Amino acid sequence: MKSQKIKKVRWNKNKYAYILIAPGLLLLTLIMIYPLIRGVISSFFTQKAASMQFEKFVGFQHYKELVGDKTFSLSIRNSILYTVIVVAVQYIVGLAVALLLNKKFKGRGIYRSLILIPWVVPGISAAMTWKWMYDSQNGIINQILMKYGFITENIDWLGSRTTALGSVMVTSAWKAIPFMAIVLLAALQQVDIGLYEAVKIDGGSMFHEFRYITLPGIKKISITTILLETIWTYNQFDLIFTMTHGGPANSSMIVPVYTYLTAFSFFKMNKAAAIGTISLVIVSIPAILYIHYSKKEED
Amino acid sequence: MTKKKKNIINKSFIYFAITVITLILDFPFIWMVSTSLKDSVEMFSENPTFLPKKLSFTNYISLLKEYDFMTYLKNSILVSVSTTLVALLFATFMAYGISRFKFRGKNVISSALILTQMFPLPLIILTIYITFVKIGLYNSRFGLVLAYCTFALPFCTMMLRSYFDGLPVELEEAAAIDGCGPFATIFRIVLPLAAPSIVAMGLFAFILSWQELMMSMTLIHSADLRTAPVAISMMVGFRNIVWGPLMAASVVVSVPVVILFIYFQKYLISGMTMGAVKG
Repeated sequence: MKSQKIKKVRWNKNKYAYILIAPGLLLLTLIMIYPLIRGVISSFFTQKAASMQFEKFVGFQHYKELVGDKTFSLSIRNSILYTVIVVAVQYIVGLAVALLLNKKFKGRGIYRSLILIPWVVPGISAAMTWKWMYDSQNGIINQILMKYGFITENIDWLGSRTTALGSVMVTSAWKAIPFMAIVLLAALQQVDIGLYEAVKIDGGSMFHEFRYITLPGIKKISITTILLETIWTYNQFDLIFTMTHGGPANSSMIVPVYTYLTAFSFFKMNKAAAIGTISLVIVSIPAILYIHYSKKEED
Repeated sequence: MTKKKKNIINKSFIYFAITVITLILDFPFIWMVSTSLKDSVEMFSENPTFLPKKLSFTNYISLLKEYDFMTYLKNSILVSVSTTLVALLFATFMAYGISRFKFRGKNVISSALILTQMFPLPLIILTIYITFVKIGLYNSRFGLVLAYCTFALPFCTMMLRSYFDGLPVELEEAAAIDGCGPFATIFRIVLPLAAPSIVAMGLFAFILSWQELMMSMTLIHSADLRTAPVAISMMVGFRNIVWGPLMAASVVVSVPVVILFIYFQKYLISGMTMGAVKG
């Protein structure tokens, strides 16, 4: 259908396509493709901190070093925990919100706008606000928990090893729930209403309705959105970097922050490149799945 | 139980649940605004008040006077607006080319555009940093704009492409029959038609650049070129965090985004769902 349409345009010559695409493609090659390829290559070399020249080919030496690097293995563990838990919470809460917003009631539009606020607030503002709310002295979270007797002593949420990572996870999930909810709402609205009525006529329960109509109806969009969120959450940098800086004692270190610190605080560019390359491999799994599923959707 | 009663109970449950969820989701935002308008006595009080008893603008005044925040805002505006314009210029042509023509490598380019959104940024930044130091684009706003195109350009291209895919080609065909070349067609027919959507994609690029932290922190060194998000992150010292001005700064950075969102909500929501779902 689409290709037929394209054929009809008279000046359909390849020449024009390349002229239109070339400038953007050139820019992307310079600022993305080249840095990416050079980044991967540099993980097999040594070089002086901010020099363009490679000194020596060292093969997998940087990778071997990473095997014994405790901070690195901790950051991998944390990144996986962070991504899986945040995306799971985000999907479950997001779906609940979407199901509520899919009901007909007055003021639905206003609620829908209000729910988007966490997504709209810039990351840095969100990070700072949550840092203030988590504050061990005057933070509102401690104050409320004390007042209602849940805790007897203030907790240093971002400053203690046991709570730092979990606390940032809460912020991360909070920020991403609206997106998931709105995307799932859009999917829910495309589910055929007639199917729900058929279940009602057959005397099916709410659970039946959800299990056999709602879930299959939103399955495709759920898969693609979860994959996309997995990639985004794994790559997230701002929240951890500004709220805990990976600390205390690396307890909330995640891979992107560790890559960055290795390069720009410890000035080990090639080691950082090796960590970045490993990240690339990790991310390519959900990325390939995403492309596979989104193509399927088009057919 | 009658059906009517059941309905009322259902409705009240929905209202209750959605109100509680909305309050929880929006509380941090309200708290940020509320804190920024409190004086230090009220801010650190043992019994916190939800909204300030007495409005105080001292935090905002100190933000401007002691933290030189206007400079950072100016830098942020310059960089974000430039990024938006550059990205839109390249993206419009690229998206139109991909959408309307059949050519070798089309699928590769489309997939590559999606993949670029997923690259780990720290890996890319390493080379950008080294290269920029070498060719003199380090510590320059122009360099930062170029670097921001790494996310703004693929994003705008993907979104505009799926928008163009949905536009009927009949008008363009008519133009072609009348002897318009592709560029004339783009400028006379496509751009005027697509203007609102192009503006919406531009807003996305603006919002993304406006809050970017990692690249700005890496590629800008001097204080007079620093952007607002980096300035905010630097207000957090190791001790004595100045929460009042910090919350005021967080509010100031949020304002343009929230205003844009209120005005262009419809576009942003459709763009966001389209971008996520179709890729």
